[in-house]
Amino acid sequence: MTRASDERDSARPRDAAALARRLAWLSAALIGLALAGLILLRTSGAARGPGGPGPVAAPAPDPARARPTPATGDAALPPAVERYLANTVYPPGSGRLTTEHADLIEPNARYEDFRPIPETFSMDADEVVQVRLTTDRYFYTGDHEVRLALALRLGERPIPALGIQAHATREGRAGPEGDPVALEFRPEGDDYLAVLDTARFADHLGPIVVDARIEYAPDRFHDEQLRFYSTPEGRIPARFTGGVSDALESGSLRVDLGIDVDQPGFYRIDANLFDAAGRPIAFSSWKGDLERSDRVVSVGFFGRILHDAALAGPYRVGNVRGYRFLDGQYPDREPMPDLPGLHATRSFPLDAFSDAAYTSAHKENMVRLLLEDAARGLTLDQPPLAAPAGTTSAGAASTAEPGDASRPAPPGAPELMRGTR
Amino acid sequence: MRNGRRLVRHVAWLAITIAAFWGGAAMAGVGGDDAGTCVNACGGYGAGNNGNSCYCDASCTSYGDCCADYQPVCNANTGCSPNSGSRYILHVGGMCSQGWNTTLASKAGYTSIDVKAVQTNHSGLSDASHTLGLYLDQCCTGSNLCYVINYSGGDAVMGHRFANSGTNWNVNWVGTSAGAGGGSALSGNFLADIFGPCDYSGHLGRSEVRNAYNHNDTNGETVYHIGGYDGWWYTSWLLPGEDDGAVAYHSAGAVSAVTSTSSLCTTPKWTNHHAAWTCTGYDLDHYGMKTKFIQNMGW
Repeated sequence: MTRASDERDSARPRDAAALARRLAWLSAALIGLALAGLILLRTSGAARGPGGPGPVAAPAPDPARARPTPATGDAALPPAVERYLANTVYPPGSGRLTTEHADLIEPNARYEDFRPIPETFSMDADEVVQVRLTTDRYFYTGDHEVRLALALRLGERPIPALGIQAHATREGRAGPEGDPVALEFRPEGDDYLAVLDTARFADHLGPIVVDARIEYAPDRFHDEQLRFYSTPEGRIPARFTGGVSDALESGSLRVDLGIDVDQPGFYRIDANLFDAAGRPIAFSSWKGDLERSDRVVSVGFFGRILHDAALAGPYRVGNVRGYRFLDGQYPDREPMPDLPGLHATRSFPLDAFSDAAYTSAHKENMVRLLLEDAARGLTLDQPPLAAPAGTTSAGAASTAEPGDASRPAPPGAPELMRGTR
Repeated sequence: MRNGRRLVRHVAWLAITIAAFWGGAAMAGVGGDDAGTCVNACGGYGAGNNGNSCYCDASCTSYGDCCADYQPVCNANTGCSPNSGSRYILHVGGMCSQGWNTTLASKAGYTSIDVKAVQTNHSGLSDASHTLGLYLDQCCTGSNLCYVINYSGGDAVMGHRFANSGTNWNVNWVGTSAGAGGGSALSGNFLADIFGPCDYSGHLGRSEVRNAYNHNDTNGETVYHIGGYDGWWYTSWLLPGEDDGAVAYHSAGAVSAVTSTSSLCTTPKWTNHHAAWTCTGYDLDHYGMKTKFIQNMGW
């Protein structure tokens, strides 16, 4: 109600203000139109990809055929367009891969750590009982033995569990389904291990929930839960055949992966590229429809990424993985078995890879829309990038308030006290 | 001495429990209990746990018992005009919600849209992502242009949609407040159930969310993140580093590693994700962070 009322108030006719607004709008529109014309003039002769200058109006998404998309660094561009262009130098779903991309270097990892049992709350960390229940991956595709590990510790010291009752259950859209499967945890070193054969859930695609009731002190119990995702053999939608080949295409590296499609549909395929020494270079993906008749799916590693990485080939293709996406269903993913190992490509000279920025019909349309908005006088607000103290924040300031940089930092404050302000 | 320590512990635990219930009620204010969804249920009774007994048939409008996502999912009615040169700001709410359901952005020349994506069931991420896709297809293609504002679980919903679509939408950028895309250590235990009294709250564990989609594929869009540090003491105790009571900074700051950090600028981040305005964050709890991005933009 408040917002609607405010809108009505702001829409009341105020002749002078309205006239001023109209004049400002008209001026902005004229300036914007002139600006757009200037940009088109300045960029129509911009450097193109290895394919040489192409027709200005050709709507080809081919990265090697650069389109008259304005280039970054053009002082005449509105900051919003400048930033948009800077953020879209590489194609969607791809980029530089570094050792810091832990989730890409090690896909399908788990992230559980020890966490406190709330009922043992204490200011003295040595009195807090912590628990960790985990396994070695999130997705299990086909028949596997899932090794579940449970550990307790008091402070940093491992302690025994007085009892563990656990079971695994299928989970569907509305919750648990079917009978639970009992699990037996046995001591192994400082941990307790239980093994669960996913064949016990041969008819189930999706999450399996492990519930464990742990007696961590006499008559004191804690409930811990863990989920993993199981894909039975019968629901594997496609498999990589193991065939891998490569080609240089329009200044980019194309990797062809052999595939045997059992279930047609929309797929996502991911892969990483490393150099011969194992240094990560790029990640990329392919998304689209696959038919049973398809034998190859191609993942492209964009030339500009390889150019920027400046690491010579031959390369290694690894972490090849994929799934069929079932939009609107639950669960909505049918994973494929990963393609194991690394696969060598041929060697290409670095200058074979194009340094042209990514272009596409969509990117052109986005720039056109943003320039239109600038010409219409619509503000192209964007948040300024945050920067650590002592550095300069990038990006245009907006009408926003500054960050709360002056809050008292509690050096050395115990973790418990952080966030209690 | 030992009995005294035990008494302190019991009192503290009682406080934790009471405070958690109180905090949970506040969190639930944006949505609440499990709610039905029309995803895969048009023409009948709502799918999911459907604790609100909602319907997806034509007569639900006259009975007033339609599921929140009935119009977009069953009638393709998102409130947007496709390819009309329109400018939209989409709002995607958080876990246990059926929409944004509170103050929307007000920006001259733009129309704000409350994305009615149900995130309350075990299937919350899949359902909400599908519904968001319907909005993006109508609102953000052709001659239309969008901004997207996410909150909490909406971060994961948007990321899931980005990673699983072949469509490039006309989204200038995405703003995320208190994003749960990195998952929360609170999920999966009973405190998470108290925080967000819906089944979906148990699905925001770090392993689940981080494996739910490729966080480095934003479909070419840039995602800006802000976070709060006014965590409630009873949950801050359970979360690593700085936090707002529900998500820690590794999640709110889109840090690709699960790490204890007091800076939203901690790297490495997922590709195309950036901290905005401040590395130190805001003196707000998770609930207070909801509209912070909109406020910062002056919308």
